[in-house]
Amino acid sequence: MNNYDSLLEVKDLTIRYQTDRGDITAVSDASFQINEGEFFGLAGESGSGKSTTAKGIIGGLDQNGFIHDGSVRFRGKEIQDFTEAQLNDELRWKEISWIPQSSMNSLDPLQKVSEQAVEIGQVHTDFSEKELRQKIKEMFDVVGLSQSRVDDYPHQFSGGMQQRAVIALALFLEPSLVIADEPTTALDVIMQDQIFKYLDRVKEENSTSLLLITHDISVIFESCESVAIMHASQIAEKGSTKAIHDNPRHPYTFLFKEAFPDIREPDRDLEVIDGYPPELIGEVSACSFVDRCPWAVDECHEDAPALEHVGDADAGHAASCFRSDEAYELYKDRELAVQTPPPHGDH
Amino acid sequence: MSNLVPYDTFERIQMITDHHIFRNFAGGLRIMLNDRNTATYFWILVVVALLGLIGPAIAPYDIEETHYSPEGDILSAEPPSLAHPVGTTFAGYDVLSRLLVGARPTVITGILGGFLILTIGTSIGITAGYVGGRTETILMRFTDFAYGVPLIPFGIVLITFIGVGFISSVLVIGLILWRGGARVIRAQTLQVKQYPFVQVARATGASRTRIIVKHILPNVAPMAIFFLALGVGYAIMLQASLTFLGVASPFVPSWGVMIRNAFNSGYISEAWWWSLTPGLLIGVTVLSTFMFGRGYESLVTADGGTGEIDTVAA
Amino acid sequence: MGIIDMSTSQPLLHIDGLQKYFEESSNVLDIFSRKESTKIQAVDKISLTVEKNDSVAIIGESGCGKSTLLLTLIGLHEITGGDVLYRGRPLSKFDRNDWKEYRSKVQVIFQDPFNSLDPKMTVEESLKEPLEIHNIGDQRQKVRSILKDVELRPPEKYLKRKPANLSGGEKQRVSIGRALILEPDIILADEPVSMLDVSTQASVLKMLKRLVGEYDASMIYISHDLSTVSYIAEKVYVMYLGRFVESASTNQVLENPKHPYTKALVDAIPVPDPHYNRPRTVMSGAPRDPIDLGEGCRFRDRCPEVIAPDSIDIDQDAYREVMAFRERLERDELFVDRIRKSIEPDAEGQSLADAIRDEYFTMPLSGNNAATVDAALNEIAAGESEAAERRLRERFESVCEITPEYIEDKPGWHVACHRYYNIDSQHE
Repeated sequence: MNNYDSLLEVKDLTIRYQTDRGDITAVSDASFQINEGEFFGLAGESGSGKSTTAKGIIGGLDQNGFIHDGSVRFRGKEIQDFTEAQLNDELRWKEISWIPQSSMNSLDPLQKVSEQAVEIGQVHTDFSEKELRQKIKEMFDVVGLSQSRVDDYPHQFSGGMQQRAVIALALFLEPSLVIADEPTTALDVIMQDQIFKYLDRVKEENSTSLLLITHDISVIFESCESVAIMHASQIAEKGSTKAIHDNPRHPYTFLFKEAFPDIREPDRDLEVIDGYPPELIGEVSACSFVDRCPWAVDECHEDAPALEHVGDADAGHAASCFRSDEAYELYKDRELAVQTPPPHGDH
Repeated sequence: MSNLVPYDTFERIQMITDHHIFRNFAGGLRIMLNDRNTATYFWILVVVALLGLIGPAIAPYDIEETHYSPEGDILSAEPPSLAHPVGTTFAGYDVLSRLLVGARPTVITGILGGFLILTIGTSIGITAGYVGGRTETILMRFTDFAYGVPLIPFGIVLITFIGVGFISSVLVIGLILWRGGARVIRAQTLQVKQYPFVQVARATGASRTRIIVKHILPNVAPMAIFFLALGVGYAIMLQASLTFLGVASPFVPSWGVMIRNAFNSGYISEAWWWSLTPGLLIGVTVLSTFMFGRGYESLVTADGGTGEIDTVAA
Repeated sequence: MGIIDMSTSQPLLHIDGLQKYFEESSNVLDIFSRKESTKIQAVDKISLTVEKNDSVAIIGESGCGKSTLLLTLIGLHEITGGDVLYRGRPLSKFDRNDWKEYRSKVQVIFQDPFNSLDPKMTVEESLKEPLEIHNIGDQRQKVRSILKDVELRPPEKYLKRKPANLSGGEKQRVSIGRALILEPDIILADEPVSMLDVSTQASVLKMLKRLVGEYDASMIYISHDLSTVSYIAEKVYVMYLGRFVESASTNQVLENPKHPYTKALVDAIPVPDPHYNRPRTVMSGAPRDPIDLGEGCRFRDRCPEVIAPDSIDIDQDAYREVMAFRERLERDELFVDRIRKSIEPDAEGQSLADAIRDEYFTMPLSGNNAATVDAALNEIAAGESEAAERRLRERFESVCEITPEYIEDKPGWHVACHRYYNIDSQHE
């Protein structure tokens, strides 16, 4: 009997890439879980490791990438060591599907969308061609594309429609979990909103979960129940979006949050974070944010802080910062004390 | 206030070597030598080129020296021995010497032919691609016409007009084979033309010449080099074919001529040391040019190509 | 010996009813069927004035024509109609010297950091190029100075680098530096930060704004992102399918948008607050192709506030369906034959009419609306398309089928929408 209380559980996951400079750590000790019917956001700048995490889950790492440590459990079953065959047979498309960044490249230009759907369906499931056609037509409906267009070729769709076709393909076998990597980054806000409207609908109807990877925290705050914020391979903070929004504990969290414009306050000065996420080789034994953090102390250089529960109403709210109990308050004091933020001192 | 500080010699040399043509070339070379496969082919070509240079100097015998056995018979089509490591021809000539001397015309054909193909192909390709309009149409129709021409028959026809001769055979090659390069370079030019940095250059007032020389050329160069390599290979092959058909000059002892002579003598299957060796050498050389070209092109475009589609940090 | 008089007190840049059309080249078959070549009306009667030190933004979805507008302004596209006046002199009458002058004074920044710099040139070479083109001296000094301005310090660290060794943000800074090095009058920026991480966008935008001020230049900032516009522009022009639909100060547009498209745009901006329940957009579909657009408001097929005739009572979505159907009918794009074949080869009458209805109508209609549509469908099934057109037009014609004028509704606030001015004046 499978006893699991989460759909996807990632525990202490460490992913590295082999390069001539050494093994670069892209993800370090990441832990989080996604429940059924939950939209989970994985946020961070580029280079944070969020895409790598997702690829690690679905077995899509580049040639030189490898899972060094940790586990990924899907419905209680460990999947990080699955072979290609196992991934194809048991997981891909029908349990976990993937919406990549640039939709244009994932649609086969030589095949009609319906043909692609049938091909995918026949590889991963036992449904008949007729059933598969029906399924993709229904999904086209859900994403707002006309059913008769199922037999069109990708080049006959406009950019936004292509993205929706890709989403339809990712959803038509009704997977439990969809991993979407910056699905709407290249799109205009109206199109983005339309797509999330359809994703909401799918969540409602099928209890589909979503792992949304993006650098856009606004989209995550609006559409996801939970979020994990990553910085240079480490999870800085995670919890419900409400808890993180109301009570951010990690400096990266609130600085990152404050870098985004809020249309309700168009004149608010936007936060700027100095420096870049560092490239880490081998074992990560410090806080990766230390060189960019205005509140760093000696301890931050010596140890990688563990994710610890913050202790507010959200039981799942945890932050990895040695000063998590005071950082946000220091920040607020600083903001109040001066009109404009002072230039960041030497660190 | 203009900059009137004079440069000293060292700075001048640095300015030249810093110039991006050199830099790109040197950089390209470095990348290429790092890749084992490509480097292997590169060195093979270097060896062949060296043979072309010093072959005649190190050949043990004269290529038209008839060798006799101690009994006084002509050593005709003798298999490899100590005295003649690759045997002799029907006429008693030393095959090894002929191979070494035969490298030179082969190499010259390759280089000359290759460069002819490169310059014609690239000029036509870039002009057609960048200028567009009627010029492009005319140039491309012309290219299509060149495509329609069957290689060897045309070579034969052309040679009957300009006469059999070594240089004329190279000319023939150059005048036909530029067509592949032209098409591809044109396609590349069209692509590069669309890039924002070209649009910015135009918007800033750059002249057409400036854009072609400073922006388009360096960016289609990798592909051009690839075609140069290919061109060299094709030139050598074509020359060998023409020679074998008796159309190119039989007096210049290239490897192709050796095969032809072997064929004519009727000993082509028996005296394998005579017919196979030049064939093998041609094959290896041509293969190396193709593989080197491919390797170079894929390596150099991998570096500095448009990478991530992702957004990027500061 | 150009015609630009630098001392004039004319506005810096005046775009006057600018039009840029493309002709889709007709193929052989079209020539035989005598189809007129299709016109892509990428930019259709755009007017805009920029004075010294102005910073304005043009906002629109992709495909609205803003990029074509930009390319026309820098002379990479030929003007089809209208004109652009730089210091009072029209671009259409420029000679070579005028263009040289204009091209040193009007600079452009593109959005793609990866392709905006020649990958084969170093930073120093890319920055020197504008100076070389215009024969400006003191190049080493200027290059270093501009690198400091765009916050790439120390300059020596960046001079010999090639774009492959720069991050996206650094590349954009170099592009900005390149645009400023000639100390231009006008900067045209096409989504310069949209491909950067949002957390980086802020710092690059701030820098751009500061530099434009320091260099005493004007800026036209083109983007699809309204949320960052307030940091960069005082006035916003909203563009849809080649036309301006609204323009006002940035605050006015964000707080109180008038045009239904602007409203939809503003309403769709994500709010970074999980407690805030922003309703999802009601908009569906995408902008139509800008081909052969004809008369009328170009937003009417998607407009949540499209104006149905007063005399009838109909649901908005159903009305839009009827409108879409009428348009197809008028363009002869109903594909009746295909529909007929899909049921049975000689279907006609009621069954054909029903099949056509199923294909194009999903919303229910009632009363006289339904009756009119039914009658029209029967006429179409019987081959009497013109009668059907007349019937439908009589009942369902909307004032939105007349091109709305771009009118100053309040001082400094233009809108092109029939809801905003005296509708009586529109009825002939």
